Amino acid sequence: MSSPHLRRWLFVAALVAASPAAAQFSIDGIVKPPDTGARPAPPQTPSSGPPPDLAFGAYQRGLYATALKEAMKRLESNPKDGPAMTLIAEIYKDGVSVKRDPAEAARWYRLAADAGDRQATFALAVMLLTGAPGVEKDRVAAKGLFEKAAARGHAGALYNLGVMAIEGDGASGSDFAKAADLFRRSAEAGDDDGAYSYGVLLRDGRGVPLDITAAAHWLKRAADGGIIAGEVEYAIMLFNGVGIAKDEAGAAKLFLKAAAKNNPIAQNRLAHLYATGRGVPKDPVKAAAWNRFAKTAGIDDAELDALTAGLSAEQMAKVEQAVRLQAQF
Amino acid sequence: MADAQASKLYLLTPPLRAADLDDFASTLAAGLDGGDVACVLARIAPGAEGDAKKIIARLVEIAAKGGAALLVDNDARLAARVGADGAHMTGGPAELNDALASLKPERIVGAGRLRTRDDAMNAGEAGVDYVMFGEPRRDGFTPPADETVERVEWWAEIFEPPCVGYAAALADIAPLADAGADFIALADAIWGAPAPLEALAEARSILVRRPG
Repeated sequence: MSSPHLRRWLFVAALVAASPAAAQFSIDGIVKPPDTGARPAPPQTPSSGPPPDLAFGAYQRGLYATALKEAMKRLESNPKDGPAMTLIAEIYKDGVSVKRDPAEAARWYRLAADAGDRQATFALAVMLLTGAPGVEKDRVAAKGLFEKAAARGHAGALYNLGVMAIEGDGASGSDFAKAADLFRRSAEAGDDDGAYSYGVLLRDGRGVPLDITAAAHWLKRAADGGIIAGEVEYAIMLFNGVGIAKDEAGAAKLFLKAAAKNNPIAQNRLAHLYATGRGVPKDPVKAAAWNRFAKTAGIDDAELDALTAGLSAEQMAKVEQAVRLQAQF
Repeated sequence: MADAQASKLYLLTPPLRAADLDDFASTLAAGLDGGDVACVLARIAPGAEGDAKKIIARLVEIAAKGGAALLVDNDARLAARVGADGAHMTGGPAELNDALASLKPERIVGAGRLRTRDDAMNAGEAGVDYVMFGEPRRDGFTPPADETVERVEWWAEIFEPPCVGYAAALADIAPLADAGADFIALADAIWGAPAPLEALAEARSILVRRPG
């Protein structure tokens, strides 16, 4: 999967801009932008032509110089080898074994896209959307390329078009109906971000008739796919028994997962669960520790602060220890 | 968290050289005879890498007889070449993914020396057969037991893949098992003891004595 982080960031940005009053516990605007140090994602299994086996295999093993050489070799025998060109583009984009060169990456993506490579079309669109040294931002061209990749069923392209429909184009405002349709297709094509976004729109009845059961279905998919916001939203539904049978312990597990990934909403909800003993054994020390993390991220909670204030010195020492253990690993 | 299923033992060999092989082989064979050892991780002494294949081939035989899996330390290729049961990967996400791609599903791939919760969660999602917490770091530093217990507890509470907790001393076994460790890893607590086989028997009895 190429640039999942980028895609998620786009959606959060779009919702912040377009969202009405956030639903209770909603993550809108609170999910932190992703770390930009995302691992270089290998290109998807090539979408057209035979896979460049030696080159692709070397790439997956981190033998980038060999991958580059093998890909070039393939181009000698078939100058229209899209997957090989995409591989070369990835190597220049990430600057592995060669000097990082976005312009050169874009050039190779374009060659591959012209040869009909779906993944290259998508990757080039992402580059044009964000811009890079030597690659000028061009939102219109990016959209055209996303549409081309989407027409060939690219889940990420469908997702990004959905984001763009919410962002609107200067004159036109947000088109949630269009976005919902695109997110649905993206989700059905297997994209977890698409599943998350479609689930949220179904839950809120935005751009699509409200359908809480379907919302739970898609948010579960997103949560299972490790989308942090999906874990939080689905946990809330499980906890409240909305759209799905109530399961407080299952909700607590998901909050634990998202809290470990530094999601402050999850940390705050988890603190409440530990404070009240719902879904987890009651544990005021853990409650206070998670409240500390949520607080550091900007969530103030008077109720939890009061609980912390009532702890004994011995319990406070345990809180300190729990915070230390959590923070260092 | 009380666990219905008792934890099993996971032995890390001392760092081995070819010269130690005969002595160690007989100790290990006797140790495995007692049962309850699910897994043996073969570690090679620095400088003895040239003999790794020979050492591991011998251990593969012994482990198979003793009913334990034999894992190779951080070398997926060697694991496949000597017919070991799998590899324990400690070199970070890229090497781990590599090992998963080349060894699964025929062989076991475990992940250790995980540096962050994120690394552990990613390893779990990538499909490792277990994650290990608390083993000595490359510089020899072993995390304090309370840290390892906390990590095991965290993992066991949320995630499905089994977890291995490293016990630096026999006294750490019970807290790790109580925290939900599926396997208890032992090395110095056994091999550094005056009588390794007695120490191993003691470890076994600690697990048996636990209320389960």
